[in-house]
Amino acid sequence: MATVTPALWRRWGPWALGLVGALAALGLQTQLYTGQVRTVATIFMFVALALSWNLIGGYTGYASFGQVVFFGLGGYFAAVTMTHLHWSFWVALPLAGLAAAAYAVVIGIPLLRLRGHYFAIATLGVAEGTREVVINLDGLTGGGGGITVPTVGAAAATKYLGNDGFYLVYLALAVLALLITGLVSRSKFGFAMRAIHQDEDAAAAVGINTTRTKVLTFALSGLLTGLVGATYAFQQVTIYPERLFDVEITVLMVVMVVIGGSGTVLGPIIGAVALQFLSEWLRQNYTTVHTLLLGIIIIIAVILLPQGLVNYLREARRNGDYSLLANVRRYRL
Amino acid sequence: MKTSRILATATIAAVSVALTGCGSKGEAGGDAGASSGTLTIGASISLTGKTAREGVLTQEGYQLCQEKVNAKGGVKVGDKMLKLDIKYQDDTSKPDTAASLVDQFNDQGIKLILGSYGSANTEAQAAVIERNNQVMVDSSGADNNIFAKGYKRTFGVLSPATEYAASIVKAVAELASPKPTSVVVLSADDGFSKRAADGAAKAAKDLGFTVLETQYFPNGATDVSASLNKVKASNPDVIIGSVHLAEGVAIIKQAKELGVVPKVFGETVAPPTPDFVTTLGKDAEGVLGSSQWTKSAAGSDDYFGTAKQYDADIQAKFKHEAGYHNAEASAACLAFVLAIQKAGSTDANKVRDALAALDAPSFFAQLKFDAVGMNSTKPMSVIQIQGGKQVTVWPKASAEAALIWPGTTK
Repeated sequence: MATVTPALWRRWGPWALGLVGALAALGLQTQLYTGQVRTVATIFMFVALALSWNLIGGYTGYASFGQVVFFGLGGYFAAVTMTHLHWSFWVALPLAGLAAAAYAVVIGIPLLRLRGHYFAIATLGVAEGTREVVINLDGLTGGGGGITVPTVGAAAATKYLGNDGFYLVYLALAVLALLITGLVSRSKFGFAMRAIHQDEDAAAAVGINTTRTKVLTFALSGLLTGLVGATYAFQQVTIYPERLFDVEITVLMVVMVVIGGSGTVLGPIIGAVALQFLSEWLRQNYTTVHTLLLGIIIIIAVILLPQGLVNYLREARRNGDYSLLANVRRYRL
Repeated sequence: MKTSRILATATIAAVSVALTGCGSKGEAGGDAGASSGTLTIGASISLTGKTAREGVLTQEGYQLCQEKVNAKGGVKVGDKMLKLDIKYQDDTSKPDTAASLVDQFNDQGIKLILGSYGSANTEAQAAVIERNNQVMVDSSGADNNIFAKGYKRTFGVLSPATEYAASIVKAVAELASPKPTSVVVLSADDGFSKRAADGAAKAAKDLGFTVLETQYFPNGATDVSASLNKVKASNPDVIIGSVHLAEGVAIIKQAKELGVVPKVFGETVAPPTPDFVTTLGKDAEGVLGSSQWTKSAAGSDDYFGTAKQYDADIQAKFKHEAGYHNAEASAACLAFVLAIQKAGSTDANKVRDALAALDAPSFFAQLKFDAVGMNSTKPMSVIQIQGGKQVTVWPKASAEAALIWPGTTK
């Protein structure tokens, strides 16, 4: 076996691990019952969502609390075009992503001038407003009564993919999000994003086109979220504005990224897998108190590891101090 | 060197997982529990989330059913008596989770499913039921849409959404004297309310009323004055609200403020809710409402007896009056039990056929499904608030008191 030098490992190791992970996911599929396939597919869905939020919220430091707007928009784009124009899912999917990205550019240009809480609140407002528009475009979206994507008979341009099909699509989207995050985090563009996070004025002073970087990141993040939303719409068959623009979906993305470690490649993946797995396990075993338990666990996790698991491990290794109490003290909680 | 070893081990692990799994996938064995003397039915219900209250009432209905059936020795399948065991999972009031739970039950070999709370959840479940060849009895999804998709494996014990407001129109047409002539429908804009509003407008037209254009306002609105002002000039005899509690209360309050006085107000799900009377006090007097079930419903069965006995049992077990959420859940469970006994088997296909052919009386209503799976012969009950209490006035067979007409005072 050829020697792997540290430099070679740093360059290619993470990619190899990613590849192994994806292969393992394919292998895992063959081991599961069909209902479990659906549950794991949902985990991949959240991995993709958390990774896409991490681009704008983690790397760039713009906490988008209206991220679900791209999910809903992607979903409705796919549902409406598949229902009224009888598009194939495979045509609707990429275009739904692009539509969400275009929307991100349109709202991003004004909104990304705001910072901190103001940006968070403004995006939240856009998401709520967009939902109202979708509800009121009755003829197109079915309004509050929802819209049903044709999956059987002559009206169905694409046959329903089934649990196995959606597992593969969500896995592919999670891998795509991982690839984009991996590429971005190592590129000049990624350094620009981090610079904006740390000090936007200083970043501008050293010649980074901050507006362009922010809008592009937002669009990229919107694209990925829109793709996931489109897949979700087809998977659910009947969709309602309430669920597609549910602020809880945004909150989950944020919590997953925060718990895993924001601004890292691995963090959102760990956060999404851990949280989804935990919530599913609690729900199955503690039917009546599972939300309470999940809430308590999240609170404890955030208090003990305010910087997220990946960042905590990184710092602990550097300092040689794995004490959680010391960590809490360091973050002055 | 160390890293390359980790990488190699990980690759081997991944590949071996991929290889060993080939061909081992499938569903767990069917007919769960039947051999061990229990009959397992899966129920995904909303124990948390925004319809948790209704979800818990639904669960109570299922629990009482299990208790009653097992008290009689269980479900008779062929020559065996199987103990009924309903497994509950919380769908957190979300359609996607509800659908996912049906898949998970299927993994465990549970093919017989009792529905979740609400139309959105039930609709999502019905699609999965169909794909997995399971069978579901729906206890609370009344939206006609669920039954308009050609599904063959979902059966609803309820009257469909289109009957909710239409039943009030029918009651007024039959009971009111002198007979009113004009009707207007005010509706919230969610799918269920719209469907109910369409049903009312159609029924009114069929019965020879002059029907004004339906007015819509947002679901959850607390200000409906714009709609009321629009209809004020034409002074309709009957104002029907296809609404939830909040909008229902707003219509009565604001109509009074604006001086809109029809002969009667009728509203779908608001008046049967206890909060309706406590919020509106005297203004609630005379308002008509529609309910899937009331304590004076006709009919009885071997397990629950009459509607009155059912109410007493719920009071004894859960310390509150029986509401229609309880009753419809118990009725759904009862339909399953009767169909399984008739089929003499727990096989999903045989139970499905038995459900399709079921025609049995119960404390809830006649349990009989039409070609699409709706209990379309079941009448809704119409209640009127009289002296601060809900009193059934229609259908005549189960009426507790005569309709007070007009239902409003100038």
